[in-house]
Amino acid sequence: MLALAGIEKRFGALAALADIDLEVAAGEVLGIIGPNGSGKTTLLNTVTGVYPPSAGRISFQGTDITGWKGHRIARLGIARTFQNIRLFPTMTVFQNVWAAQHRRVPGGLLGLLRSRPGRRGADTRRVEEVLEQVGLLRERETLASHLPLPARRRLEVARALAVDAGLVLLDEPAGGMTPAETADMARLIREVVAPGRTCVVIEHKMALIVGVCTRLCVLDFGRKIAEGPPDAVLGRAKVREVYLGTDNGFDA
Amino acid sequence: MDDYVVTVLSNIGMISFMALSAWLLLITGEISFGQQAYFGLSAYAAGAATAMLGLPIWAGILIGAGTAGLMAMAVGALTLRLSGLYFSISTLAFAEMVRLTLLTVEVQVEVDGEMVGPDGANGFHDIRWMFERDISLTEFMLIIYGLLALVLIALLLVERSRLGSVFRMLGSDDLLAGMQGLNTVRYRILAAGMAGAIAGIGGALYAHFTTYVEPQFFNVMLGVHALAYGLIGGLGTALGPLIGVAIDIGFLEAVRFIQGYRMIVFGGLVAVALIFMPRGILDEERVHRLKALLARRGHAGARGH
Repeated sequence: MLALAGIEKRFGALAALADIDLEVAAGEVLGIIGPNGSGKTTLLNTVTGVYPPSAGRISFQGTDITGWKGHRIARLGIARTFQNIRLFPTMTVFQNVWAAQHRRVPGGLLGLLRSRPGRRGADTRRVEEVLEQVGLLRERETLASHLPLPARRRLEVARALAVDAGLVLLDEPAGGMTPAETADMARLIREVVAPGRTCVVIEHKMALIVGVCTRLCVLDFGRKIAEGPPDAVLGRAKVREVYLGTDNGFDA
Repeated sequence: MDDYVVTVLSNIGMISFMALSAWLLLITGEISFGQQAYFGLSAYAAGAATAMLGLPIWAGILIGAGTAGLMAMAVGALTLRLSGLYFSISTLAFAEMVRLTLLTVEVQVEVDGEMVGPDGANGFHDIRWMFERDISLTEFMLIIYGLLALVLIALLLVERSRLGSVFRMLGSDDLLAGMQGLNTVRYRILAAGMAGAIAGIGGALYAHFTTYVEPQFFNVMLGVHALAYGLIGGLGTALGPLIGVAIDIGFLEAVRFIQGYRMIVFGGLVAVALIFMPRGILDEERVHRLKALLARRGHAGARGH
């Protein structure tokens, strides 16, 4: 579904990503793990067109999207969340999800002008449906800036769901969450996001990785050092050393 | 109403177009110090249309607003890559270019034995549509407020639509707007064009109300005021900039004891507003709370009956 070939990203002299080959198959949940600064978010940014790769090709469902602008890539059906949570803070929960649909409104400018949130239609129903799924329907009129952190992360997920993206990229969806909240997020990804979609999840927390991801890819200093089924990858000595440090009481 | 009151009210109406113009850019996250350029360009273009070509005033307003809108889109396209301070400075530079260019334009034609048209530093005189049609000041004021109401209603409708949401997305988080599949470049140019055209309507009316225009009037103070109205009144609704205008002209003009100190008081107000209410009196949060309150009232009222 998504294929990266020889991806490299340099910021000045720093090679944030080097020679990354990666394939994401339709329907899988690929976990990308690795220590801080290993290039995980850079990888997502490169795929979603925040910036172009310095070298290499990216293709999505057979289309070469290398160097495309972010809005064109998003229109192909790639949605993402952000490690540092990006919402429109002065908009309500409803409006944040509704805003994700703008690009799909038919009729160009006139279509955009005619469509208002108050009108009951398929769009509004879809927003309410995904808010229900992530458990935010009761907060629909709350400003996004007033939500607690776990709810904000769920709102980002709702936004990705609302546009029926085929590929959803989640950047540390449980970042800053308590174990209970992390378990909720894991359940949400497993039961709502993953069915019928392809997912890439960047995460540190083993509680989210194990039981959610069907395959893992490990980055270290911008290079892919391991890839495969979670059990096998996490069992590898090198991964344990890189990711958890040597001689670590590792209890996933 | 005496002529003084009508003139003050008309000025309030015409400056309101500038306030709405600057506001529209403010909600997309851009601070323009150059909206006076479109006011001025349109004043000249509309004046030329009626005084030199003998066209009716609605054609003059359309031509003026259209010229201003297209020019604003062109400038918007050129300044796309600039943001923040750099964008602001470039808008100011462009506005000064327009003003200095208008100072040198001398294109006159003979109409009824008199030379009419822009005359360099002397400005553009004899835009006499009001006299020729025997339109009174009061009638013209009604035209001004009629058009202002139309523009305001249009903006309020835009605000509630997905397009308005797009504009706010640009102002809130440009990158995130792009990640939602929106071609931010296109919408920025659109907003610039709409803002230019709105300023242009004000300029076209101004040319016909005063019957002459001088480039000196379109200096940076006009643009700064336009910005300040939105920043004081609030960015949460299109009514915000009009509240700003009302506070500045309505309140400060009316209160006797600060006469003569108005600019000082106004400047202080802007400073205080920016510190304590960076997005104005009716900012997004207060507008949201007001709406929630009204919705609850409406609900309770409906139940009561």
